[in-house]
Amino acid sequence: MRPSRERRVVAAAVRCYPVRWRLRHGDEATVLASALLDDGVPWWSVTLNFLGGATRERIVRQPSMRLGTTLAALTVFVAAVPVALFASLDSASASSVNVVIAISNPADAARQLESAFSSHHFKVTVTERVAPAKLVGSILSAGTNGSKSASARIIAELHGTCVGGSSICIDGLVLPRDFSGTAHVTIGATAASQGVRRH
Amino acid sequence: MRSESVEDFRDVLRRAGDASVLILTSLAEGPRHGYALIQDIKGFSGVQLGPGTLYGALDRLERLGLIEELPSEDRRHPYRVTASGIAALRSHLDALERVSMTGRLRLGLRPA
Repeated sequence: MRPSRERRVVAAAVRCYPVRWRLRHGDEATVLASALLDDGVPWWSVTLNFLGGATRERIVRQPSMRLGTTLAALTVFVAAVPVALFASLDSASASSVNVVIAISNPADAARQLESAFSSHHFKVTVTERVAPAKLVGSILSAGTNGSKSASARIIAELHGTCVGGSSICIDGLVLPRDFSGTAHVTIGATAASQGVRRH
Repeated sequence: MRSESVEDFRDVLRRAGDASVLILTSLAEGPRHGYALIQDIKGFSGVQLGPGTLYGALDRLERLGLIEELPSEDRRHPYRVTASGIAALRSHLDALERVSMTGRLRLGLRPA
C-alpha cells in the first residue's frame, strides 16, 4: 500500500539526517514515526521534530561543516517535500536503487570494504597507503576505470569525522545496486597495518 | 573523591538536558526501545517526546556511557541504563529533591 502524503513528508524529514545516522536509526525512526502517527500525533509535529534533530545532528557531529550542511539539509527537505507529496518515489524505492557502503570500523576499514564490495559482487580493488594518523581508516581516493555509463560510476562519497574528530574525511561510498564497472579505492593505513595486510 | 564523582554525574545530566533525565528515569525500570520509551515517559510525566528529540538524547547518553544498546529485536534497538547512568540519575534526582523542598518551604507548602 502506498504511504499517505503525510507519511512521505515525515520520511523526507528523516532523509535530512546524515547518512551515518540513517544507517543506524533510519529504519527504526521511520517505524516509530508511523506508530506515533497512528496514535494521533500530528504529522507536522513529528516532521518538525525530525528536522530539528537533523539540524542538531549535523551541527554537533560535523562542526566544521555547520553552515553549508545545515543549509544543504534544509534545501534537501524543501526539495523533497513536493516529491514526497506528489510523486511516487518513496524511501523504499529510492534505497532499492543504490547501495550505501560505509566504514564503521576505521581500524579494519580495508577488510570491511573488501567484504562489502564482494558481497554485492562489485569489482572494486581496495589498496592501502600509509597516511597521517587522522586519515587512517578513511578513503583517500576512489575512482572508476573507463566506462562512463550510469551503472559503472560511483554516485557519491560519504563524509564523516576523521579519526580524532577534528576534520572531515571520506568514510563511505554510494554505488548503483547494479554496478557493472570496475573501480579502485585507496584506504589510509598505518605503516604497521599496511605491512601486515599487503606488501 | 566520592563528592567529586557525584558532581561529575550532576554536570553530565545538566549538559545532557531534560529529555535525558526522562529517558534514564524510564530505563531505570528496565530495558526499552524507542516507542516504548515515548509511551512510558508520556505516562509518568505527561511529556510527549518527539522522535528527533528522543534519538538525539539516546545518542548523547550512549556517548556519555550512561546507557547501552542491547542486541536488536527486528528493526528496534532496546536500550538499558548502565551503572554510571544509575549513579548520574540518582545524583540528579537528589539535587532536584533539594530544590523542590526548598521551593515548597518558601511557598509555605508542606513537603510532598
